Amino acid sequence: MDILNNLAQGLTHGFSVALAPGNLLACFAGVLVGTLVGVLPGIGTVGAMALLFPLSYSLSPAAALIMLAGIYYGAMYGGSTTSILMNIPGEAASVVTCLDGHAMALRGRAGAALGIAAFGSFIAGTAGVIGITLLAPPLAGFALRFGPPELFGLLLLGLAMVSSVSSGVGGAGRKSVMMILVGLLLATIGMDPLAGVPRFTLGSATLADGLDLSAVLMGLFGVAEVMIQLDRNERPEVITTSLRGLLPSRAEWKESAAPIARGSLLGFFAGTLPGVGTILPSFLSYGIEKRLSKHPEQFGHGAIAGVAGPESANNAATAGSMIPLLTLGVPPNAVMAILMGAFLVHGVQPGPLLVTEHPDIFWGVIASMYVGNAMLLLLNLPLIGLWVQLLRVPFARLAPVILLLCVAGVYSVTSNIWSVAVMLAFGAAGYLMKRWDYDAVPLVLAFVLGRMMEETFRQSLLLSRGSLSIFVTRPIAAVALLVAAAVVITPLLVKRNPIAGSA
Amino acid sequence: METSSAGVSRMRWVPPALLALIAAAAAVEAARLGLGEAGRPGPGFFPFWLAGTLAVAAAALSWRSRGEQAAVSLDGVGSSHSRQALWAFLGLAAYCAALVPLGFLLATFFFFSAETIIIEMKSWRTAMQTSAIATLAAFGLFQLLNVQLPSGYWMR
Repeated sequence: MDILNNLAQGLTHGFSVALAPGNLLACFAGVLVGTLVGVLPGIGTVGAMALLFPLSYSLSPAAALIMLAGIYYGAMYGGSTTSILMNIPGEAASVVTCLDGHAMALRGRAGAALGIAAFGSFIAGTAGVIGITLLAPPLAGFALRFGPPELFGLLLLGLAMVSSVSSGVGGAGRKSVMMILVGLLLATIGMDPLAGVPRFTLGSATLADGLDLSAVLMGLFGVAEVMIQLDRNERPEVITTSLRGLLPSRAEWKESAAPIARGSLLGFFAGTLPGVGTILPSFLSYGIEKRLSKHPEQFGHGAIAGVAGPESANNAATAGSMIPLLTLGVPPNAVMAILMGAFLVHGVQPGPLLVTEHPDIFWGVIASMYVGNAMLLLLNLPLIGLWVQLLRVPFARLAPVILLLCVAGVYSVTSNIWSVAVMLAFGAAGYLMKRWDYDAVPLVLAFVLGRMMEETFRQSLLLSRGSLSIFVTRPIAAVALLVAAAVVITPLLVKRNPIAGSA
Repeated sequence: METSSAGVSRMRWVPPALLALIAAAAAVEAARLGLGEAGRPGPGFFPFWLAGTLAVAAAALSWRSRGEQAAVSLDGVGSSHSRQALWAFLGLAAYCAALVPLGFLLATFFFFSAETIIIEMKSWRTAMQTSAIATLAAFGLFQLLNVQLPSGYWMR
């Protein structure tokens, strides 16, 4: 009863924060930009958040986080539009929506596909936020028992899981591990957190405070992405749709209800796992729906369940992925890493103390997600015509604008042209990484977590007077490290033993 | 297209080799910073082990990648478009270099003009007209958002 009272009080306080005019505007801007980013193939959620990251410096902590969170789940909504109308996923999580969404569009049911994607996203997004509301406070209470060894173990586990599920072709696991090591190494640039000694600064004042997160993000996800898009130079066909027929028929609703419910549950719980992100839940949901369907042969040819399930799963996963960040201070994916960066920029440490030290931010962000999901439903359906028009804008016209935003964004944060040079260097590196099929996501995640990892590791050694046994004698740390080891070693063993792998 | 892909494929050993070299240099620098002792790890301790592990892992991957002809995942990459991307990047670099001395307005106008000609292949006249509008719009937006941008030496 006490728990429910606390929840009600927290949510009431959260809504008073989320419905304040400034925060409401931030939420609207976030979901609008997120949808726009999701609709336009190319930049992606991480890129959009990187572009708007500098803007968050000038906002209040609550408004900044509300806006950035809005971009995340807004992009999940928008991502389905290009999948359905162009057969190009605007968002990686919407890849699987292409299979049946575009097939429905080709059969003249684009409106129903877009409609069910929007309604499914709304239902799943709202269910996910209810999940956060119920689970986050007790989890945060439990996480108060964590000391440096436990945190180090969890951080290592998060990075291990990211390395195991990171995208890439051919030796992706090995490359991901290398990218994680690069990210951790980049995080050591600047002043040593305990001894105050400059490290790897090359005598530069710009590097004394470490690499600026916005410069790294905009280089890797803004500049590099523009160059890649110019490389591809694709001009795809857009299927036009009218506002008529956006409401699914009764039969389609009936067919979609269970996939939406299953996708919501699956997406939410899968999203809480480090490294999983939103892509895996949508694929898992598609697989489950196909297996449970009475007509699996229809999948790939316009089965509405193949749109409803995955679209619900990826939206619920966005809510689920907030849990590790808000309760443990561990971002489970690159988007959450940027959100964590925004927390830290405003001097707020996400984690178990967030709910007690900054209840306005904790509950404000959660309440804003309810508001944002409602906004998205109102935005998405009427504006589909506008999104279709936007899809016809050639990328070549958008490219200079995106590059300008990158430069202005970084400069506005640091007022230092050398930080812009750092962004350029990361832009070139990001482009080459893409060309050679190295994923930037593990690097960014490791870069954001690097400093905390080093601090917790060294604090643990100080606590144990130099004995590494502290990581195995503390149960939570030991379990986290054991799981991390299993996550890294299992794929190697399966690869070496094809018989086991096929079993 | 074929050429570029094949070229990239043949050079798959290069990125890990470069990483191995950088990591080895970082390990040496970290050791110079001081590794400390077991109970009191020094400033070089963490980066030393990271860089050492990275150097070994990258060298191993580079060695394994010799002559590997794996497919490159970038569909539709063509050499002419790659050149366009390169020019766009060089234009951006020039813009960054000109931003402080020329100031936001002038530098952005030239940047937009150059990028419109390079990427969109528009005529000079069209590029100038659209760039003037885009520059003023961007300036207005940044003023609205209270973003601090360089005004240029000529304004001082």
